[in-house]
Amino acid sequence: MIKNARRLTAIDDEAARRGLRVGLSLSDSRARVPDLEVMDNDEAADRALLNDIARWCDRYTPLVALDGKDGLFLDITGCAHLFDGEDMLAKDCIKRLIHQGFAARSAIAPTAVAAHALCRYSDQHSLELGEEKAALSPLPLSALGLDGECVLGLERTGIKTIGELESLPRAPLTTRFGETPLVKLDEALGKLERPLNPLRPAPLVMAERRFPEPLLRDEDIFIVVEILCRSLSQSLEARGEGARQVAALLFRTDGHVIDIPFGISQPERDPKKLMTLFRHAFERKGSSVDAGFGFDLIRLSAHSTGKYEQEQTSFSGDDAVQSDTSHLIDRLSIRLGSAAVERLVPQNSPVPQRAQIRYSALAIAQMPADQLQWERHEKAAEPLNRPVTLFEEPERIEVLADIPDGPPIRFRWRRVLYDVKRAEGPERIRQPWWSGTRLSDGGRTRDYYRLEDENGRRFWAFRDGLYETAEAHKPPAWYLCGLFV
Amino acid sequence: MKPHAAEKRAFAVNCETAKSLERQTLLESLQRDIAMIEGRLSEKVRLDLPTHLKGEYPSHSYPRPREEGAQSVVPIVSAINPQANLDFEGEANKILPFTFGSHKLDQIFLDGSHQFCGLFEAFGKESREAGTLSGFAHGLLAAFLTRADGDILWVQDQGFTREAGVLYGPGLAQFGLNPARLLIVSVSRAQDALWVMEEGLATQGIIAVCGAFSAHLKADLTATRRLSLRAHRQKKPALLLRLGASCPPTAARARAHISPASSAVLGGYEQGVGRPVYRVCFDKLKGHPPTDFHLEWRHEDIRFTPAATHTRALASTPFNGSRSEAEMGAVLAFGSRAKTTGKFRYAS
Repeated sequence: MIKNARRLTAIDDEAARRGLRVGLSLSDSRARVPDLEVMDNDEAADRALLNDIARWCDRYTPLVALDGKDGLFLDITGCAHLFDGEDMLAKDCIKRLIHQGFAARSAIAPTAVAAHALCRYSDQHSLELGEEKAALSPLPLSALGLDGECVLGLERTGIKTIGELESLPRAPLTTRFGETPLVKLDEALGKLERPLNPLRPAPLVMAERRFPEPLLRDEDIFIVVEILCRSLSQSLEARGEGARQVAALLFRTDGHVIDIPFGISQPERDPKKLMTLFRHAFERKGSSVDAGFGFDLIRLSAHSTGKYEQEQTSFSGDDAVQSDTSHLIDRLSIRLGSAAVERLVPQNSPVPQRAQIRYSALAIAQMPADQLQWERHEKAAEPLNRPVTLFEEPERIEVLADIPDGPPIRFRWRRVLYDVKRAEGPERIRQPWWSGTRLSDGGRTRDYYRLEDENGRRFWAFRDGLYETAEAHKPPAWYLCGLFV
Repeated sequence: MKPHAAEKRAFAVNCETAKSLERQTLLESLQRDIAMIEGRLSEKVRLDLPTHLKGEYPSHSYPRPREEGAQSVVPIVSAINPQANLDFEGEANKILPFTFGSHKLDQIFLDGSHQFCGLFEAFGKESREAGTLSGFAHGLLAAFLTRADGDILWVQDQGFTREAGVLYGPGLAQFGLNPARLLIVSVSRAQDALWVMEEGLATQGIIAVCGAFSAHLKADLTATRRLSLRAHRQKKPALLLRLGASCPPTAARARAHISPASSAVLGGYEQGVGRPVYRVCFDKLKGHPPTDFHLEWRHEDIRFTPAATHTRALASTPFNGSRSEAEMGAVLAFGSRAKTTGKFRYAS
């Protein structure tokens, strides 16, 4: 609803021919064209669609930026030679977009603002360096991308075209209308640099292949990716680096793009290893890799690199491929998810549940070694007082015990009754004063007991809170939190 | 007479004695280190050691600090040949071959050249005995780790995590297994489980693989055959723990049934929860009849020992008066009951 009436925000060619305009109210439009088809404006969907098209335009250049709500900027510096020239690139892009069902126009210019102006307000398709002034002069002011108020203000003073704006002295304009009009003018004419804000960061190293005949089978994709791994490895070698984050982009002919990223703990550039990691990532994607009508462009890019250290090869002479532990961690993390492969890192905390953290093995590849060391101070006659396994959530048990701090005599866990034959404890562990009394925060002061039943099963149970300090009618609860072995 | 020359000669003589002394202290410290790794060091000598040598793991990541006077030589046990017999010049202390601490276990798990390799299985009858089952495996791996350099891949599925919980570092450290040398993988799909174990065996830095699974795992003869072949080829041990499963035939070299047993007295405190004790029954051994024995874990030596037969006075009789669970796996036609050790007698 704009100005209390439902208005048209976008029209197609047929509607334009029948006399409708953007901004016309819906009732007026219906009056002129009775059989008008109307759809509600869905900005979120439009934005998503524009993002998808931007993703697809990645095939031409990695620097793609949004231009308002219905346009894209593509920075094709240095990419044009791959497509036999800039004009061919633009034609190819527009042709494919039209095939996909969009109405599209394009323009090429040395600056982004000039391209924006030409594309929307002029019939000219391309502009060389030095011709901007001549081409842009007859265009109206809104072509510069200024907002409506600014344009209205300038028009009231009689400035209607870019040429007129350019010919006026700058200081009075700035005092009256602010900096924006002149900044935009300078950007259009190339006197000021305005870098694009690309949607995705450009990859550091890239290798790609285009196919006139789209690929459909998985085996073909693997063959191509293997070739790309080799050429990526060569580029990385030239830079003296290894890749840390790699993404394989598969561009379908119908515009959809499939992104298969994978991360590597130690920088890697061996093509065989990159290939195995890609295979695992591809298999993990599984059925969601739908080739559609085929892929006509496959690109392998490294988004993050690091210094590459030569590893020692093994001389064991074994037939089977002997990889090292970090490569194993990479393969397992890609196949099962990085949370599935863990190492235990000690923490200095008296609270037992916080005495260790389970880190994903990929994440701790960069941690210094002394943080990962465990210490052991056992003497012979001391019993083990920490369980070997711990439940993530302590399990509630029903207990018969002596008050105030006797160990459990009998308890029921998971619906089975256990008679305690031997018990040791209590080990009283206070929670930090800042933790709450809920179990998830750490609970109250706890008494931990080591219990053994008649068959020799050993448990670690605690009472959450003390009988003396408990409120009436709410005796402290007992929990089982770990198993001894 | 030139005092200068006399001094020089005296100095030279002193240097020689100093060097031989140095060599001797070096030898002694080396022997002491090796004896400690073996677990042969007597309590008294151990207590005399400086603190930084007492309780540390023979860590492979950094060299341990030495006492003053000795050169810093770290006895790195190579993973390529962990059973190397190093001979000192004329000393009686030879490095003994690797042992788990119990002769019966050594007979079963170690092959002719005292290598621990191949696929082994351990079953726990009830799913609530997950702690006992994994404890036995932890014991085997901890003993193995004292002799070899590398990491252990521990694979656990969701069923096992539900029964037993997640591994707890401080407890493992007390038990004797260095948590920094564990790489823990949780699998959610059954088909990934054995694949992860195979990948671990093929990795250079992993010296043992252990999989702890609940009954859902499909590990039959064909599935485990590859695992067994790879374990043999790589000369690494692979342990397969199955909780609450029926026992299908597999390609494992030996199969154990682990059940919990009353703990052994520690420190003279009869009422206390003492050393962990396991009851181990082997029922698939080439050329051996099924055996059944009790093992005790000594965490300070990082070794098993045969559990001593002793009575433990109990406060009251068991809950419903039943004495023990059914014998597991052992066919009693051979009268093997008479051969078992470590039977506990309940005070009435």
